[in-house]
Amino acid sequence: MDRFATCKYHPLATAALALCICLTPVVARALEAQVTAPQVRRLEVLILLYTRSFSQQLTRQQVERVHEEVLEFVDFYRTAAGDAVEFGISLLQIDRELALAEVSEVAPGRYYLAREDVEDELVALGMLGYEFDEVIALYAWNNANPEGAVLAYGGGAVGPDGRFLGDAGYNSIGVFAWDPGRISQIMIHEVLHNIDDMFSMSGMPDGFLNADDMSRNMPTLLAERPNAFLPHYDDDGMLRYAERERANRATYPWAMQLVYYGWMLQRTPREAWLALDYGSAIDMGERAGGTRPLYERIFLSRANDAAYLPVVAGGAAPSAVDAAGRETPLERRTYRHTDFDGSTLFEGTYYCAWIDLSGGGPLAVTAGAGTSEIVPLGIGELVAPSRVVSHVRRLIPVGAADSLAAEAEVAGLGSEGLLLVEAREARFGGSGPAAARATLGVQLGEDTLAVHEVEPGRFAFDLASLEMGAHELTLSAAAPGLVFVTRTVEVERRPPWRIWTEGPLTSSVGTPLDVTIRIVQDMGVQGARVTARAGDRELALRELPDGRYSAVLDEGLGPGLDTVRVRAELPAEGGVEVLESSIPVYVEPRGWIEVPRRIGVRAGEVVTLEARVRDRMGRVVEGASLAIAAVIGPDLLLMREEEPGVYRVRFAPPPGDHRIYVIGLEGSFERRVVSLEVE
Amino acid sequence: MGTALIFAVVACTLAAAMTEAGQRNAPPVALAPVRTFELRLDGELSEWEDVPGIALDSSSYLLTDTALYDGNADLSGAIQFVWDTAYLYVAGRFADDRLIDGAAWTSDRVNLVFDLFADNHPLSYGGEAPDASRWQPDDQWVYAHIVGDGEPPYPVMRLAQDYHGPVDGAQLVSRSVEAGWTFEMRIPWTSLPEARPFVGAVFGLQIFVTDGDGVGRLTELMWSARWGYSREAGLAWELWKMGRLVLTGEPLAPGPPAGSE
Repeated sequence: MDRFATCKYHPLATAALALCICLTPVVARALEAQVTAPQVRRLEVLILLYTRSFSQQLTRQQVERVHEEVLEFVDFYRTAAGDAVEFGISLLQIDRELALAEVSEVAPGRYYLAREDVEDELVALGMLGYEFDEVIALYAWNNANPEGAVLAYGGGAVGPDGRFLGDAGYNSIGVFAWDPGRISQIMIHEVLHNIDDMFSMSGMPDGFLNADDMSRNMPTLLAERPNAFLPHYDDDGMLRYAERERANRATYPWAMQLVYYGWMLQRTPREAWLALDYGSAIDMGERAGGTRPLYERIFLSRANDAAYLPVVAGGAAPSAVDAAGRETPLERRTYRHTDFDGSTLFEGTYYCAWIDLSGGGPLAVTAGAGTSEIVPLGIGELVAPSRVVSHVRRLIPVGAADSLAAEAEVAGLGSEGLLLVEAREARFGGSGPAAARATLGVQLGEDTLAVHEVEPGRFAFDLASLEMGAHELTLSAAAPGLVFVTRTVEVERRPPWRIWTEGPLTSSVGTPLDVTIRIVQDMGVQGARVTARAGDRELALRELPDGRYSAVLDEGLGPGLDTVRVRAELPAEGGVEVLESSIPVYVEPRGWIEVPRRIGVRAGEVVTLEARVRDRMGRVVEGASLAIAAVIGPDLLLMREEEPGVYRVRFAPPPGDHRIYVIGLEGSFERRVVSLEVE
Repeated sequence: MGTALIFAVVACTLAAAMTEAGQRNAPPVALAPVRTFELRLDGELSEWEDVPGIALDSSSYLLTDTALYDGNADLSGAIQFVWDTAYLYVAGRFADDRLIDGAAWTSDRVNLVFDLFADNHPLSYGGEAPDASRWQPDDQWVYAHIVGDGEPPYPVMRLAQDYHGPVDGAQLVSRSVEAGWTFEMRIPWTSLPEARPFVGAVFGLQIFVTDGDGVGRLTELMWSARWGYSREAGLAWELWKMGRLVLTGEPLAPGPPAGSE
């Protein structure tokens, strides 16, 4: 119970009160457990920290804050269920860049680091051998990034279900995408889900409650812990609150959630914890206690010259840690676990230091009663852009306009034509040393492409070997003692200029259509000759002062889908460079239906109803075969364009006077009404 | 087998009662005559005998795996419409060798997709099948789960750009019949935003029927065009590929003066 020695509660805070209510039975149960069952369940937990991603590089201060959040997470569980479950925690710090392509896109533009995204790397780094029961991945993220990639969830938990790293539970949280104070909150919540699954997988599907079912379980909570939410809500008020929450009309402050989570943990019998198929049962006396490093092991890249060591406080205040005979002074700090409004729910003291690793090799660091093993790993990093545009021209020799286009590089083998890749050792903040004796492979689909080693650890790939279009290259590296994760690079090979149009274009029958074209130039191309055709007609394009080309197509396009074809030619050495583009055009059937106001017929006569359609310019639309129909009683009769612009239908009228409604089935037409008078 | 044939004959007869088709530029049309008879929503369809219908059978567009569709005995039938100033009424009778009820996406379901302004065209969504968040306000998907006899436990549902939930005031009754099922449903016009019912009104409409024959055994038949479909991604909402629903009949209230409106 280290926390009691270091933690100060704020008696006025809602959660503090609630937690105090929870703590009393914890103490009682812990004392009882020492007598009757002196064992607890120990779960091996790996904190997996990606300090750098495509969107965010954590600073030293941010790394320290992440570990502070882990301390809060540990504090909560220790307080709420420390007599039944214990976490043995290790840290794996990965300092290479986590690329966007490595993160699962679970919905368009929404990302989540799934367990499938990290498992290969964990296995390659030897983590499988440690038989972790739980992996919590924390990865640097900034929702304001050029890729427009935002986190899909605050956190997400899955398993254990035997499908990850042996049989480990998993959850992941993007850190510093939001208020960092939420990191520990989300960890607390998501680990409850993983524990829930551990109970299910151990044959106890009802052995643990669902962390998301607070409202549903509120009656049980209040029956077992009356007045748990005083002084703010009595039990009746809390039941009403739960109903509102279930109807999505209220949410729980974090303090209230902590009451629920604490109760969930405490009501789970120690016997159930000990019956889990995960972790190991240890004697109560073997639990970690006193001042000790937060992490039992710290894995990180051997290229780092320092490791951050947080130390849990307990008992006498330490002044320094011992690292292989060298003393490093410890700094005393305080963590505060806060609610959404910033009010402190609980707080505690801890110590910390950056440990010098310049000596290399594994290092045992002793702080108080505990030791942390710092294990350097060979973690490699492939440094390459995630997206490259390479320009190429399609040249047609003069006099051979129909011959196959030849391609030519614009800038030769410069930065435009080469993809440069570096194989380095990962280091916090980047700029790790070049990977010695590294090799690089470049794959395009099934094909292996040639790559040139410029200098040790530095490679060049000639993009000119790729055809026009979009490609995805897969880079893989190998070097003695280093683990590399493959990296993908999207390559776009395209001309340095392109045709831009305001497409798709829509118009309506008889309405002038404005076609505007612009030549977009990446590399200073000027003097293009631009032509356009619609059907058989050449459009008379005007070059506007701002560089655009414009034409008005005043008639000639029939209703339906059509195409304007644009061609741009640019003089080039030995020929012309040609681009072509097609702009889809939709011409909507639209206009006014003309019908007689009335038709008088004798009974038994066949009636011929005639209609014309005029466009907005007042011209009769001819040859369009528009879908014009007449509603006669319950029936619908299609009218046919029997001669240009004249639609007819013949029918035997029913007895009596009727109204006939003439309508358009496609496009935009006002219905017209004809009085049918049968004598 | 005999019952399946009867269903098929009914469907074909109803389809034959449809309007002349085949004119260039004319979309497939479903008619909704004005309601001229008393209607009890009980799943018994005798009062619908003279109402034209839309056949959905082995000649329709099969969206799903051909290997999972066993022909008309597996799924075939017809859907009919009538209307009045308050409601659009829909009825249907389908041969189905296995009635799978429930609200799951793999259960039996009747689906109506409306383009109430009938204004979608091939370039409306840049040529892409839009997800619901990009639909125009008049694009609506109404779907009803068919569950055994009587009023089902699941409401008739509507998906729109900014709404996914029950259709207020809608009623649905289904009935198990030999080798199949029937249903009757009424949808208040007020629950279809942008719908303006009058004689000669034209709405964009697509119909598809879902036959859930168990997990991984889904069959969907579509009426007026084939929309994209894949087992992984589901239906591609190609909202420009629609037929038309036309309200016909004599005016229910004093009509407007002859001539233009």
